[in-house]
Amino acid sequence: MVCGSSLRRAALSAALLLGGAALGLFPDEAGKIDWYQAQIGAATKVVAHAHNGTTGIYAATELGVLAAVDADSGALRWRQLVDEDIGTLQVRGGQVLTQSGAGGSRVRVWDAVSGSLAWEHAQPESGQQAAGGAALFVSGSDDVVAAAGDSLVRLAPGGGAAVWELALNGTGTYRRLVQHGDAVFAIGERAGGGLRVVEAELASGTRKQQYDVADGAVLGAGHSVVLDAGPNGVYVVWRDEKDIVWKVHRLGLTRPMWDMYHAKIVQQELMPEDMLGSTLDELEPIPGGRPRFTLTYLKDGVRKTVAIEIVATGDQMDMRKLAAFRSGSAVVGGPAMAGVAGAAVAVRAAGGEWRVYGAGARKAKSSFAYAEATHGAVVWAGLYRTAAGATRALVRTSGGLLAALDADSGEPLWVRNEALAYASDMAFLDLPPPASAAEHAAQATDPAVVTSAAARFVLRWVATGRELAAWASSGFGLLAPLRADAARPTPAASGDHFGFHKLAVFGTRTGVVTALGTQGGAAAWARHLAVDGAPVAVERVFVVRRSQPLGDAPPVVVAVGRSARNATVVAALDALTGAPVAEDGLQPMPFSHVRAFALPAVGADGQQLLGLVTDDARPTLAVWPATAAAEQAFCAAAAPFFFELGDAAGSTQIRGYRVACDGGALSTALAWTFDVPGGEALAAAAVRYDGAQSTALLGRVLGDRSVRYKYINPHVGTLAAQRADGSGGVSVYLYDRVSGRLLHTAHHAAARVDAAHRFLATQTENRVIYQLWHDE
Amino acid sequence: MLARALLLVQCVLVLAAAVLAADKTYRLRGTVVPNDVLGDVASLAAGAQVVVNGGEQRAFIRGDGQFAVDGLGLGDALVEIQSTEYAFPKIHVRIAVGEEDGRAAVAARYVQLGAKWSEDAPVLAYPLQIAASAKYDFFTPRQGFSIVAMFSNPYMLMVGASLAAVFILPRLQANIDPETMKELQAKS
Repeated sequence: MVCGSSLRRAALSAALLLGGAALGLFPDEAGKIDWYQAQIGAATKVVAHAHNGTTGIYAATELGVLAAVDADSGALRWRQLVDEDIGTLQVRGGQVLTQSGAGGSRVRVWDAVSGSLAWEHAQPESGQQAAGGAALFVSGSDDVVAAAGDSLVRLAPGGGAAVWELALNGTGTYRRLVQHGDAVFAIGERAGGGLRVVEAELASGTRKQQYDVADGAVLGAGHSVVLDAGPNGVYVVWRDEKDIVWKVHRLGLTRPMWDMYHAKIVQQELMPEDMLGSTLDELEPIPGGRPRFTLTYLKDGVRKTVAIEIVATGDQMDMRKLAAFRSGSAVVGGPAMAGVAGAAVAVRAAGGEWRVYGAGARKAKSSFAYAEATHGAVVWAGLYRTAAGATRALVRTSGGLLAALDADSGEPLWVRNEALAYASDMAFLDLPPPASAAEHAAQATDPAVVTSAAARFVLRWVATGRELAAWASSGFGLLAPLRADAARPTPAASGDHFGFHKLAVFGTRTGVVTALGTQGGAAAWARHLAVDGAPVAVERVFVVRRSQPLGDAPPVVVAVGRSARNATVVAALDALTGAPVAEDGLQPMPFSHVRAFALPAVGADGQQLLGLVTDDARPTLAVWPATAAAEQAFCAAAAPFFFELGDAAGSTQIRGYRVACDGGALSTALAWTFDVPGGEALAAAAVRYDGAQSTALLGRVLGDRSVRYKYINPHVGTLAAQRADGSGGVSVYLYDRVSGRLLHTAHHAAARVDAAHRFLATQTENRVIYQLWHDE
Repeated sequence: MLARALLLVQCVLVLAAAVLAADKTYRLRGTVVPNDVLGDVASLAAGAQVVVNGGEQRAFIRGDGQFAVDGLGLGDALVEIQSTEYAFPKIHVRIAVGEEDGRAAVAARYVQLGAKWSEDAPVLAYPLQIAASAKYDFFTPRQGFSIVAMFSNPYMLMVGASLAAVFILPRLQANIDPETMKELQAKS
């Protein structure tokens, strides 16, 4: 009976273990196994706004995204893909105002809490306006005044017909509006230089006066600023290059009043040529305060920044220096953080330390150590105040990082890695499987290394004891799921036994190479690649050496990109830490590549070789690493090798090349050409290319007994071609990329390929599947 | 002569009107209406867009569900609402200028991908009133404990058969006549 009861228990246990099969992702696995990160891109305009007891950071980005970020956690509240250059961003009373489109023709107001569109107005586009325009909320009203198209309009909520419309008649490119009392100033750049100021009555839109300022001066970002100091007046400050002086003009007077001011603060040490290289940046004034701006110039090789305040007494105007900073490079936060406690100046001191100064302060509010090696140099910084009254600094880097710091202590509070919005390529890295205690002990007591039997005995017990202690300290493996970060674990240096957990290594156009764990999406490491201070636009990422269990050699990932001078740059990084493999881990090449791919050959150090095609007109294949041993390994394993060029959009000819080894030297010869017929040009090309794959695979196809073998050609390329005007439909060609032979042709009469309708194709086994837009 | 001149003038005017109409663009209006699938339209607004012809024109949806797409020309267009949470029907819109009044009119019909656009389908009301068809569910619900599922598992069937052989067969064996048992044992 004991046996029978044991059998019953075993059967019950077996029954309990047999559950329903998992057919997909379960809701409780979402976020762990499957995760999603919404990106917004690099912010160009940022506004902090407190509403209903919470503070939000509202950003307009390079990618045409309008987003709201929680100021306390950095989490994305909402985003809208506007897909246009957003020229204006203003937040007031729970509403967000944007202006976008050609000539600022689209004015939209959004709900700041939900991100939904409240209303919008589309002004007829005009060729007179450059992109951006200007718009603002009317003080004391829900209306909006905008310089949109070729008109100055006042819009009521709802977005219908304008309350009034004042034609600007192509008199300038209006990028700034300022409300002053019952008037609105539209300030625009004139085609021949200088500014045109149009003053209109806010109630009726009647033109009060119109005049020119800064005749002939070349204006724009850095050369002029418009300072709105509320009751203290509106000023335009610009650099007159003819007289090499700074000039100030106060708007709103019955007749234009010109003031010439020689910037006494810096004139004593500033030579005319220094003035010509100086730039202006706007500083948001303290509410009720005087207008402020910064002047940055280079003197004796040292960059200096001066914060200046304008003091007007009656008809007299004076300037007062607030603070001066000397640094290797200074970053000014000005319009970037409009409407908050005060703009900040972030200054890079010696040793890579950054200091944040409040505008007008001589003493730094805080400082933080920032490693430019991970996300690039700081581009701008600003200050904002949370609803609770805490002051924080917001910084943005050239690598796309957006981070908030405690302005008093400099402690980082949250970070958004927006470099991933510019991802150009990615590769999966298998993490090394976890080694058992026995394997660790075996490695520690390798007879080839430890020759003494007694020493091996001791070391074996030490290694085993160390593993047991680590296991015990982790709660015997039971406490891991209870950790706070269990839902989003930091990627470990080793993976799981089944190989599910990997690292996804991304290369971005901002120069950042970053790795995310596939479990939860947490960042493992990041590395910023730069040559001569300019970021490297990474184009391809390759895993050239895979993970080894208990291996001495770490896995290696190679990023291939282009420097600012269009030279090829190759960077070999430790795939687990992101550190450069060698001291010269970043290798600028003496050429500019047109194609990069992995070669089906492995070098002596176990790294897969890469091929770089160097010249489009007379292409040659360069093997990376550029060593004789690598070339020999390539010749032994992969020659002859084939690649093609000319498959970019707009091309009318594709050329196939053959690379052979002649006496140890690589030679590249033209093998075939394919001219796109019918007067068409390529609209898109798709290849399923993996240079490391072998050629034809022969196998029996299960389920279809009538076919014993199927020839699966991994070298099929798919092309889509159409006429330049898009008429006549789309022709699809399948061709063999080795021989150049045309395998199949199809024509779709009513189809088209353009920016809005992409051609997508993929190959799976012996099938090619493609998608295109058909007008019928 | 005069009649010919008048006819010529009329032809020129009609041609000019056609040319002008061809360059003119139109605004398409509609509303996303709540239903059992999507009760709160405001929750949809920030995550959805109205897309025409796969992306030629796009429009945002307001908090009250209204939308307006500008820039549509005469002819046919496919209007979709792109959302990651809800599925919406696709609508074929035809904008044509009426011969009698010369004003643009919109004829909208539901359409399925892959099916030809047919004029036999009923015309929808304009401005468009679009309701969500279904809510996307990307996850598999976990199967709870089910005794039927447990016993339908082939491994469980084998276990059950084995248990039956272990527990039931001896009892059956005990009921067999001893003489019959001896004969069976002798045969085996």
